[in-house]
Amino acid sequence: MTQATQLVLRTFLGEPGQEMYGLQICSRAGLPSGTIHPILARLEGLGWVESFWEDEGNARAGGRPRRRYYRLTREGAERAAVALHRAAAPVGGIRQMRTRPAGGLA
Amino acid sequence: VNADRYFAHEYEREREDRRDHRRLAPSPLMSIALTRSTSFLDENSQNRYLYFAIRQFRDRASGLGIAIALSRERSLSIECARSRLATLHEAIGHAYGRIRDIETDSSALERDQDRKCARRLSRATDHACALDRAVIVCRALGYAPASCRKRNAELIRALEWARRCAPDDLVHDRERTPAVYIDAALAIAHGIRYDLIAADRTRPPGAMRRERVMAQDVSPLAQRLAFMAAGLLPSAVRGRYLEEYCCELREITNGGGGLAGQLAYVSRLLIGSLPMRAALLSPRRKKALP
Repeated sequence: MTQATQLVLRTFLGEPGQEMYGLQICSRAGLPSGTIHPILARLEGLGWVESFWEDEGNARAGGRPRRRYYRLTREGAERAAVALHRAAAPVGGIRQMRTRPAGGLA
Repeated sequence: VNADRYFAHEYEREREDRRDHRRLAPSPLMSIALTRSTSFLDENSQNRYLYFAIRQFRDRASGLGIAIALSRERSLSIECARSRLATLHEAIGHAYGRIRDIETDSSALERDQDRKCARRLSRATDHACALDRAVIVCRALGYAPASCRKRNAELIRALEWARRCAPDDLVHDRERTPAVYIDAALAIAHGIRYDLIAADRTRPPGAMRRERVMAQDVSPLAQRLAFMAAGLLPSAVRGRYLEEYCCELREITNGGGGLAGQLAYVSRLLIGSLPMRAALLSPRRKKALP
């Protein structure tokens, strides 16, 4: 899992159940739009995130086109939490398994 | 002499009566009286007999008259009865004819009503058939959008499957065209980015404020680049992402983002189009990690 994906997942998990649109996620995660959209498409394809269009009435009231909102699903929230926990685990075990060159005697 | 005269008178009278009433038979008492009066009886006895005979004759004559009158009345009544019978026969015949007419009329009416009923039944059957057809059409119309959606999904799946199953050369040929466009778009986006950086360096101090004031609408160049970025995506989701990009572009403009902000946003979208396309076209596994 890339750092950008972790940032996006943390943004969603920071406010669980809260729907956010693309620019909002960009500003909260601190990532550019060209990075956010592929990640969101991948998460949506896996079923971790669901997306839906904003209500037309609300958009008209705001004087803007309707937004596409993204929200973490229940299964996605559980799996994202587990995946982030694993990603944050120390990698010391792997480092210890690496062979080290033997120290010189000289 | 008086008796003879009386007898002769009565005799004449009887003859006249006979003439009048020819059907009367000659009386036996009368013949007896006539024979006895002339032969061996004395005058007194003769007179008495004659008187008695005359009385009887008168009684008989009156009885005969009554009988004649009665027979006349009887014949009249018989004729009257006959005429009445004839009238009755006529009335009965008329009634029979009327009954026959009524039967004919009723059978004709029944036939007419049967025909009307048959016509109504056939019409009702036609209506029922039309209703059945309408119900079938309504159901078909109801299923049509769902079937269209299903067919679209099947088409997308088939395209993905075909893309996966296609020979490598074909895949490369197909992927080459969008890749060329992506390279061109990336080059444009990088050029714009460098230009923007250079413009920021050489921009006068009041330029940013002027730019914000002027940036009330989305730049046509930014719109064109957003179209290009969406055009690089698969056709199934192109419309959705184009609307999303345009919406975000409008949000940036409304939030005070000038031309530079719009172009920066669009250039990042263009740069991210290739991984976006790969993410959308890659096979999705439920247990995979993003």
